[in-house]
Amino acid sequence: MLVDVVFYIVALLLLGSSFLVLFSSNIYRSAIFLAFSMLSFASLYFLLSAEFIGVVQILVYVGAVSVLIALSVMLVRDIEKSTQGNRYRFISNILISLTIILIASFFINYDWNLYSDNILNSSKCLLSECKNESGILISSTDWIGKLITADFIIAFQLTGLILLASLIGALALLRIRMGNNDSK
Amino acid sequence: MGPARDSFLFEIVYCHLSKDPSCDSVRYINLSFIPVELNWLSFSLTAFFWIFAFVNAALISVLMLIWGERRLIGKFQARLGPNRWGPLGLFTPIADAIKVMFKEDVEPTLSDKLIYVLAPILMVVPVFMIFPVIPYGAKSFLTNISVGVVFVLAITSINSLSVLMAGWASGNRFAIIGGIRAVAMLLSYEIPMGISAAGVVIIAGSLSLSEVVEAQIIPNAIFQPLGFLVFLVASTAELNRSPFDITEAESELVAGYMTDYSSMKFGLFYLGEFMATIASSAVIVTFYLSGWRGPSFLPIPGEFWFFAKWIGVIAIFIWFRATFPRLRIDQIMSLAWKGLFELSLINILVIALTMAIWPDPTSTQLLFMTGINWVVFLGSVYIFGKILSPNLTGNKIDKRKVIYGLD
Repeated sequence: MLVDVVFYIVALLLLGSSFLVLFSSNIYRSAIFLAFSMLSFASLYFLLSAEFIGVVQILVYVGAVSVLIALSVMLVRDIEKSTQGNRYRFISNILISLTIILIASFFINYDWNLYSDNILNSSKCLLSECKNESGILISSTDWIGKLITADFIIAFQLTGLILLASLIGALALLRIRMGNNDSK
Repeated sequence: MGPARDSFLFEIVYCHLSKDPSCDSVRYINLSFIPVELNWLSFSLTAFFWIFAFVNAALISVLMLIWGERRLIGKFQARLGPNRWGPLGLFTPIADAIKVMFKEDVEPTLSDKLIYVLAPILMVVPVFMIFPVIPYGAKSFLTNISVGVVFVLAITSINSLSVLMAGWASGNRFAIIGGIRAVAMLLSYEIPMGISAAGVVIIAGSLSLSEVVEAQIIPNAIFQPLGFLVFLVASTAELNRSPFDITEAESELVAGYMTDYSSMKFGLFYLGEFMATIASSAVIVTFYLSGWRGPSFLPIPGEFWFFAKWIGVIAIFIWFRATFPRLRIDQIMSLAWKGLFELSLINILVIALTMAIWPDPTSTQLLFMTGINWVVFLGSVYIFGKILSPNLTGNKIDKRKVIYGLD
């Protein structure tokens, strides 16, 4: 009852802010409302008692990524009218809606119980608190830690490697630009 | 939908209202009148009661902090401080609040109205969310979420977005420069803050704030002084307090990102900053000063110890403000990236190594680990001080290296 009410309020906030991201002509406002939709998304995770994922969503997406997006949006030339006017707007709206419906119908019809192996069971534990063999509650944080450091260690390391590569790439670009300034 | 896990504060209100059978062990007779079928009603009434109580307590404590800060800084600077209205000038913040509320609300023509209004709200609201998760006593907390440490760090990181929004929406160059500077600073100091908090998590073996407190047989400030130092400095910067108050440096940026804010919108920024100071002090008490734990031979409840330590940490912040001169923006950035970041990495390395050697330490092993941590603390702070001090105090600055210095 209470959870349902909270869910519908949060869902309304999420839908409203997402629509504002899409349909506001001011691109800076879009960036800010993106942050708000991330925040409401995080509260959906809290409702599913996936507290760790929700908190990380706030920490990474609201606290850092959306700030970086808002900073980079400031470099756009005409911020107030930058998303206005596109000849293919109507067609692209229809195409995007069709794609979303297609993906959604795939997810709804898909039999998620097909692979009831260890990984799927533990991914269920990500969304709520599970009990181990002796019946003690294990929080989802424990499961995430175990999955990252045991089952998906190579994927985790590779993600770190990609981030490191992008960091070095950004620094290298900065160096090249500064070097050019020096030669002038 | 029973009472929240072991929360005494929740239970005492909820069981007064509801006839929930799970309350039987702590039944408060004659008062509970809402039947079990309307559980959701008593649940939400309890929630509203505590929201009301926490918000008002936070607001009143902000008024107390404003008064205390002025009095204490007056003492530091060998003058009286506010002393006109009320005993010891105790009513001065009330006069301040009335003044702020009745000022004219000016909106700049070039502002983006919607974001201009949203920014101060986003500054204040997240801070309110820190107070309910903090354990004020062994059972005196509202909610014990299993990821409290990360939750606190995440909620405090929202204010960087608010600062950027305020700076942009004002449509003023000073404001936008102040906002971008503030965001650069806030994002950089979040990193050492998070890494030094990881040291606390390793000791506790849990992200829950209650377990962080229970794990501190030796307070973390003594056990890992390096992490404490980094966290204290980083949270001072996160709070935009002096000596890191470059965002509102009147001498160079008028008033930074809040240049164009007036009346209660400015009041909300002011409120948010002071309330963040209080919340951050509570977080530091929980992380590093063993929260509600005190000397166990004294029959004093844990809440007393918590509040005593809380006031102590707030006094340290005021002392910082009264003592240190304001840093330049390039000094702030180099302190974050060349000093605190490495120090926090050294801290987490030493803590992880010692915990790997002694996973379940006895009391003598704990003392030995504390010794190792202190040796590392003194050594690394000395070395980094030697390396960084020409960078921080020297007059020669290589202009090309100062990426964020806009002057």
